[in-house]
Amino acid sequence: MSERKSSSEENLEALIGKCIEGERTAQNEIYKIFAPKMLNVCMRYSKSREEAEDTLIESFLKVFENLHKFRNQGSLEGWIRRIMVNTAIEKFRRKGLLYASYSVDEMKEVDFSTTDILGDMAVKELIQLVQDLPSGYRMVFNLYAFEGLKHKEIAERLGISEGTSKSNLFDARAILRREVEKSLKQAKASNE
Amino acid sequence: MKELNDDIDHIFRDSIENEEIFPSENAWNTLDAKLDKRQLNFYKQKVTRYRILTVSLALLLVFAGGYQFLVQPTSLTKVATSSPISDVSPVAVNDKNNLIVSTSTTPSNDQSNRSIHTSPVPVVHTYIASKADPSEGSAVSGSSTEKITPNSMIGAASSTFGTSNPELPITAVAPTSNETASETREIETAREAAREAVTTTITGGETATATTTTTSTEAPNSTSTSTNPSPLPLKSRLSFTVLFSPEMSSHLLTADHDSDHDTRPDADDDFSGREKAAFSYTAAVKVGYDLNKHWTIFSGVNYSSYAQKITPSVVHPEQADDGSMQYTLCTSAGDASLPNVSGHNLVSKDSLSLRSFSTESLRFISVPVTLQYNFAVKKISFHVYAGVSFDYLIGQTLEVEVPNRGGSEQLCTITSLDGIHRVNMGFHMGLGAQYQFSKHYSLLFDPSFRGSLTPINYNTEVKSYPYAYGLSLGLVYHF
Repeated sequence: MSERKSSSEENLEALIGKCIEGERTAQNEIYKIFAPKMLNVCMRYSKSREEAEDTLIESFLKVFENLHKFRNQGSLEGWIRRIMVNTAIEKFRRKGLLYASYSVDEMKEVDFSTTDILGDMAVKELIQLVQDLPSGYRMVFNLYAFEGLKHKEIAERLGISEGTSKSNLFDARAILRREVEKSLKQAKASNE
Repeated sequence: MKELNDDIDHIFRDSIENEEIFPSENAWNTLDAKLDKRQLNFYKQKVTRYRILTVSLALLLVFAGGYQFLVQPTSLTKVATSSPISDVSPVAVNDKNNLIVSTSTTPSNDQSNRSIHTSPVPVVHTYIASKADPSEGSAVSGSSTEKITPNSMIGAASSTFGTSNPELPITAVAPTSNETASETREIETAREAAREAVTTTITGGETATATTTTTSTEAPNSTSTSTNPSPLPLKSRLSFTVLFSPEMSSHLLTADHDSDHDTRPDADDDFSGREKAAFSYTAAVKVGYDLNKHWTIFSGVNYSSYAQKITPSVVHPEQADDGSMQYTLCTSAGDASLPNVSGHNLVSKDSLSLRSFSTESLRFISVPVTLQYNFAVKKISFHVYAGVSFDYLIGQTLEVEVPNRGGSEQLCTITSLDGIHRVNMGFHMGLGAQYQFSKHYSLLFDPSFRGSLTPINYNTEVKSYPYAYGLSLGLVYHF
């Protein structure tokens, strides 16, 4: 097993070497390996699939340009993922989109049982729910829930205050809970 | 509540995170095309770098050549003027740039009928000892026991005639007819002549007997009485020029991947698309010094501007250093914070649509050093020139029409751009013509090109190298 792993690592290293030399077929190989996982990351940070693919392309350009800086000390996947997230943050900051168009007061009292969700909702729907969040909420929710950043770090990365970060996370969760519940109710109604 | 929140985070994380979503075919095609473009840009940048390097090297060579003209062999001139002419043999340059070495077999006190070719060009007349070596056919005699060091001799020869022509022929000119023996010969190079000459110690009373024929490229009757040609006075070599050059300027942009700034891969294309060339100008005063008939060196002071138009765009607020939110207009030269004319406190989600073109202007004071080659020097003469300049930014202006609360536009002038260098290095080059309409005055017409060798900004998305092309019109006063 370890031999196989090392051989795949060797293959990856060889691919990286060729990518650094600018070999397009090797770049295509790397893209094929990582693009599906990375598009998932980009989808969560974007409003639509088109926007997510834009982020993916922009990020891969950076990956290929900076691959010589990757020192094989961590996982390549983790390194590429960081580039995807940074690019998404960059795009977000460039557009300066911190919408706060949702009113969440009414959602705070929703009685919500999370255990019902897993089996009943498709992943696509969950991604769609995250995508439908206002971009500021989406960014904070992703960075907190998926990247594990603290509010202070999120505030620094997004150029917002810590308070805004906490408030956005709170509202994002409320929206997600409401939307999940709504979907479940609809699903139950259609089953009945 | 906290558990509930953690749960929702968990649910989404666990459900979504490991999913794979396959991108469309089009995504790779787009990436492939962009990679091609990046590669092309990379090569373009490389070519630009090589061009700059080539221009720099060419300038260096030109300046090195010019320096040789500037350096006068003062020590040897001193030797020449302090030594009696009978002790050493005179060297001069004829009007075809042949180095003339006059050798004499007559006693040293016979100076009256010595003749050599004289040179019309203002070279310092130097004297070198000639060689007495019958085996090589040269015939020399003299009474001097003075020795001249090899280095000073070689230095004198090369300084006087320039190192650019090491193959300068040397002609030994026969002394006048009453001398018992004489010889004229062509020596391959000035350096060799000098070296040969100084290795010989001239002994008094030594007489050579070889008979030679004059082989000078000059007609025999072109010989004249020897005099030391004195260089033109300094004043007559000087000129003073005032000029004005209307120009169009733009910026050459390259992505700054070393910057701490978040750099978009297509930032250079984006800025290039948004920024348009605009009217600029240069006004200059300069002093020229004629190194010789063809070469002139200039220096002075330039006042110049690089301007560009920026297309209307939507701007968003960014946090300023003082913590306040201000609309920021990003340009390739640097970022400008716009004044908040709306009266509202800005928040991140705000946006402002600029409806008019903005004008950015960078103003520099420069000290140029220019080397010019003049050809067809007549009433109308032509020239090419190139040089470098040290540019100091004295002002930056961004004029933006910002919509105010009432919907009308208010012209705002921003005088500070973030990320711009104060000092940078530039180059200039051009070719043109000069029309001399009186003894002292000439008119100047120079199509010119100038630009920046170093980026004018730092820590921004793109490196910006402004450039301008225009037509210089000037008046030259010759002293």
